[in-house]
Amino acid sequence: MSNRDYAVNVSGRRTQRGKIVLPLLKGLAYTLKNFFSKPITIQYPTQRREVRERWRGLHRLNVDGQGTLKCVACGLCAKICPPQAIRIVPYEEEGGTRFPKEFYIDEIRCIFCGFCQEACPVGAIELTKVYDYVDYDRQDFQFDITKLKDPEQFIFKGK
Amino acid sequence: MSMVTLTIDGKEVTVPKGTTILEAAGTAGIRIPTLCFHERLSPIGSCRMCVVDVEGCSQPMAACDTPVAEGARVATDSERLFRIRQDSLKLILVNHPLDCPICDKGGECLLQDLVYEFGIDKVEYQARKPQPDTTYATPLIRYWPERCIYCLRCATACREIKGIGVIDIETTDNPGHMLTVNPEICVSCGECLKVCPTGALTENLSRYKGRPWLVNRVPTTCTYCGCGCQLELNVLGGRLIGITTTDEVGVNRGSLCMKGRFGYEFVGSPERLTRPLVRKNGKLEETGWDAALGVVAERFSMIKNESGPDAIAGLSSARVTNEENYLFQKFMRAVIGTNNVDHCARLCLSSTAAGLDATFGSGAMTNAIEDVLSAEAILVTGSNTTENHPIFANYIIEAVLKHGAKLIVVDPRRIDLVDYAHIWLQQKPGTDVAWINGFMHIILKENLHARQYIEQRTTGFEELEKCIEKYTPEYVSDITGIPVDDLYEAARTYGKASPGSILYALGITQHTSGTNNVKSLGNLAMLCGNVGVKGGGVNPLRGQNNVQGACDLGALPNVFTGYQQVADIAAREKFSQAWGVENLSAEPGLTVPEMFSGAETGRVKAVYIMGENPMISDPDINHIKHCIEKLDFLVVQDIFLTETAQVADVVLPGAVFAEKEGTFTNSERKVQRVRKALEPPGDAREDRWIITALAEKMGSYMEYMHAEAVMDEIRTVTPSYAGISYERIEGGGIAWPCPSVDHPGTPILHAKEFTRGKGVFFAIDFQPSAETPDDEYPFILSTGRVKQHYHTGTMTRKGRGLTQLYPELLAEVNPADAARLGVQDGDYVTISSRRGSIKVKVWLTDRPGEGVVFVPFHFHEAAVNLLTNTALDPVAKIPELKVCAVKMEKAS
Repeated sequence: MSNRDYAVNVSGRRTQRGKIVLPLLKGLAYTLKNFFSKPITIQYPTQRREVRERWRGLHRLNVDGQGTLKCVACGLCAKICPPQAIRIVPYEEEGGTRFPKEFYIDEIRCIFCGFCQEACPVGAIELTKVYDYVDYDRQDFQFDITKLKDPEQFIFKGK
Repeated sequence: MSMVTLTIDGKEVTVPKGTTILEAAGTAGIRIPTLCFHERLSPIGSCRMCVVDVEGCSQPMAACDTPVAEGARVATDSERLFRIRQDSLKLILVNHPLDCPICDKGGECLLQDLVYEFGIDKVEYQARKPQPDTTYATPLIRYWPERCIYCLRCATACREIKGIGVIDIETTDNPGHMLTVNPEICVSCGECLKVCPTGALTENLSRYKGRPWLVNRVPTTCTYCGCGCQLELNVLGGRLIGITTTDEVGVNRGSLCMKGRFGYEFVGSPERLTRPLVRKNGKLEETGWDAALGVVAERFSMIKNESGPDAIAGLSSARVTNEENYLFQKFMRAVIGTNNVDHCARLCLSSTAAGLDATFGSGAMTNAIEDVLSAEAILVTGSNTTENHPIFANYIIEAVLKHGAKLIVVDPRRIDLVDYAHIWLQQKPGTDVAWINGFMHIILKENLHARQYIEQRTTGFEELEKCIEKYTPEYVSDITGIPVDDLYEAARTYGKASPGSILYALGITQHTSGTNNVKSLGNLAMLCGNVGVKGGGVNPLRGQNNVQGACDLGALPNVFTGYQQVADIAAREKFSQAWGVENLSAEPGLTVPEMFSGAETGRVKAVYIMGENPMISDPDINHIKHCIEKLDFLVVQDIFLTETAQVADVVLPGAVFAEKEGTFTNSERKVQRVRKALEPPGDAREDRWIITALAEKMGSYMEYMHAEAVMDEIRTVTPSYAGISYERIEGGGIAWPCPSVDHPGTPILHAKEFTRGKGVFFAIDFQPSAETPDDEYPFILSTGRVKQHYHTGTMTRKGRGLTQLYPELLAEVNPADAARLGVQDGDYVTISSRRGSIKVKVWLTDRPGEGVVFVPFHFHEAAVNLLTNTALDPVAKIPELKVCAVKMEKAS
């Protein structure tokens, strides 16, 4: 089979006589019409798009009134997580208070399905609207408790 | 047995009479939901979950404790039963908070499962919240009163399995029930924790909590005593966070003791050795493996060239795996070229090996542990079984309480087992031959001996008969201090029993007459025809996890693996070929005490110690220390910087049982798997790797891909292990001798014929101990173990849990002696012998008899082995650790 046989000839119709001016004018008219209306583009990162109410972005570990984690390290989120992105080391204090000694979410593995939020019996984990975490190292996508407590800090604000 | 036929859910079932409906349904494959029912416990009937309809009865019946009746028609499932069960659950939930997310049990909670099954999503009833006192019997377990559903499993298990009864349920006005405990008699075995169906009892030791699906559970064999319990290591994120067991698995059937269940903290201890240490300018400094092994290889080669291979001695270990013991003795024999290899069995049961080998032809426990359940009488002597072999003690207690066996305890101390005994004889320490001869005298006089058995299967009976003629009960009573009547009763009880089992431990063996004591017990058992039968036998209880395996695999100076004599040309030829070396030494090597005395005289220049701590465990520590100082070179391979490691020239960090693959051989000769669950900390390596790497440094190639490869080599050279492959023991252990892969193993030795042909009676006269009390040293000192600690304390004292239960060394002193000395409970006394002295706190107790003081040897601060005597048994070279003369004075 030669190259010619399957190459699509795109220029065939355009070169037809008398068909080039009218479309050009049409296009220019459209441009002119929009030239004076408000632009729909957003100046990210100085401007941010408002996402939907049920958007599922980076996770947040909620704290209670005293600033301690609500999480009781029951492990239900880790259990239900389809890509197994959550790793918890539960710890219990002498009095019986239970909390996560270590809590990691692998944000690269995560598929942002929100099952963890669904499974949590104490409302400790929540998916925020933060969607634009970037970094240079894979290791940095392993979110630990400090990062998970405040995902809003990762909202990209430009330089 | 008469059978009963009944119909369950339309299925016809035939079961033996007396079976419960629940069991009958089980045989038919019909599941009835249960909550308080547990296979090992008698039916409790407190939860009403297992209710079934029996035709003709208006009320539903509890299936767990209703026996079957002929022709009964049982329905296990109906709308009505479902509602009754659901309501029962709802009532249970009134007092049970739904705090599953923070409950340890979440995910494996029986109540949780049932609540899901019965679709309960809210609690409809309300009740006043209980506020009982929350202190529990042991600090190792946490009690959550609000989660308790009062199913009575814990109380029943404590009573039936441990035979104690620490827990009870009291009925009160508010709240309706209350759990009461008696901490003083609790042995912290964790049986209650094991059977609790909810999270009312949780482990209080590890602060790290893992859910069943988060933790990795690795089945393995326990590393403490010789029972060889099967347990699961719970690993979370590379950290050992707890020990669990599975019902009906292994010899322990899901039970464990305090050490097995709670003594795991040493594994993750920050004090673990993580890098090899080499002594430079008098100080141990960290270095790399290459450098450390280089030093060892160089010094060993130098000493070997200068003074010959017999100037190097090796102490193998009863704590490491079979494979490592094999490699260690192979290293000593093939690479170094000496038979100077021994291990701590010398100090505990070498007299058993010598005694039983001479009598029966095999020095191991003759019967399986569970055999004791079929015994009519059990004679326990020189063994504090409940503390040192708690799982074996469970069997003894079960035999007594459930099977009606008669228990005879002969012990100088009033040990806990005496509570279950029919007769307790308190002999003076060191007079064992006398009372055993006394037993035989009475049995012969009363014609209770097995005449046919003696004629057909034994020799030497006439000499024995002559010898025991003079051991009349009165004469024996004079020597031993046992009342004549008691002696009669005990001898008759054992003589009449068929079969009768003899269990003993170090109270028999650690004497200058140790071998004779063991032979005497062999005499007694053969006299009554109790050897080679189910439920009989002479059973030495092995004190360490793999002391049997270490002996089997040739970590002894006179034998290769499987007790093949080094003096035997054929055996040497076989091992020469297998190992590819020539000129294996034919001369039996040095035993442990001889190694140290050899060091003193300059005969031994270097010692390689793997996983032992002779600076605490061996008698007369001052002497040992002096001997070690004389050595040119000492290598210690251990997991901690033990007292011995502190004086070593090179210290090599090894791995614990949880960090390696291999096998242990338990007391009943069962070879069981040990599996790797963790990585060794830092630079520490598996002992197998260390030995092979050292061999390579010394120019001998010893490479094994896996522990299994070592086992395969063991199987080719050891007839008794030939059929024991990893594949076969994957599901459960096999008892050697197992000569081929289709052999099922041999739980009972000497069944048809004694291993040596005919059993030999030895005529043995009583000889007193090497050191008896006199005016200057009026007390007898006996040493041993306590239930909370293990050996030199290197493992059990590294964790918080067991230490808080027994923080300080206590000398057990009889109140009568204490009154004479003017000593109160909790005072300090100085105990001195001719060799040294220690200061110890006193515990006044009637456990030791008058004139006897008992001190455990776990504590390096007050090492009781500073006092003990090095007098040896002439045959087995076992030191007399159980008897030495001491004086006691009140200390400031």
